[in-house]
Amino acid sequence: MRRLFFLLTALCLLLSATAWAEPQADGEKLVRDLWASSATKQLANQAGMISPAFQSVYPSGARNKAQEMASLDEVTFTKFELSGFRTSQQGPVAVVTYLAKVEEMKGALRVDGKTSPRMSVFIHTNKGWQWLAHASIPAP
Amino acid sequence: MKKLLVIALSLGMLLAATLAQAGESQGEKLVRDLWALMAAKDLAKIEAMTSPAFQSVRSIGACDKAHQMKLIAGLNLGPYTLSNFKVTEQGPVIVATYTVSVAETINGQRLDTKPAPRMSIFIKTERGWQWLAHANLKPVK
Repeated sequence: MRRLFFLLTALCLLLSATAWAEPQADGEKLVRDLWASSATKQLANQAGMISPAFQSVYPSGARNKAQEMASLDEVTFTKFELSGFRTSQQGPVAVVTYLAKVEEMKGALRVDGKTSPRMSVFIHTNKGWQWLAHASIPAP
Repeated sequence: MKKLLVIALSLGMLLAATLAQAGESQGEKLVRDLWALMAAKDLAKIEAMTSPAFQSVRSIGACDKAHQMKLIAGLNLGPYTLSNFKVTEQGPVIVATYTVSVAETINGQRLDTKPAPRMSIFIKTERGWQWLAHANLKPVK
């Protein structure tokens, strides 16, 4: 009887620990999904996956969620290559660093970018993983 | 009754504004404290407040906590100005973007002195606020 009690207690502890554990982020998949939806201009999908607390930073300065979405609407990615992924996670937050080489159209202007570093940060919420922050670093 | 409703609404708005301001102040304070520690080269305190999951990114690439500590050890900060703070908060996380004007040398590489944007991200843990991520948009000369 006592053994059964210990077994049940251990099982309950294990179950509660599993229930509270944050899901492990697949950082590369989160980033690739984000770029794919940007490339195909699925802005409605993006709006749901971007946190209201979103901020991004570019050489020109910072952007909030509305400004980022407006900017993504103006740009058309004609080609992009992503590589060198590194993901780390603490609690519900995943930090992903990687390299991006992007060819894009800004209006009628074609911009062929050099490979440069990026950082995307995601937070796990009751709506799933949301894009919380982004940094686009100029190529050296 | 109508007067009471107006007072209650005003109080609610005031409380919301105060809470929002408190969030902003916390983010700016964390960034200012971090920069003060970097200027003082207090590596022990910086290491203690840096998350094991830390990552940063700059024009030469990404680095983890160990690499970042080495960079800070080799960092020589001149007088600096932090401005233009924008702070957002979700759950246990603070995202702060800001502009830095500074003369700095990292591992012998002199960086441009023009003001450039930064992003610092902090997470609240059982050990207090920890520095989780950082982006430096200053180009290497």
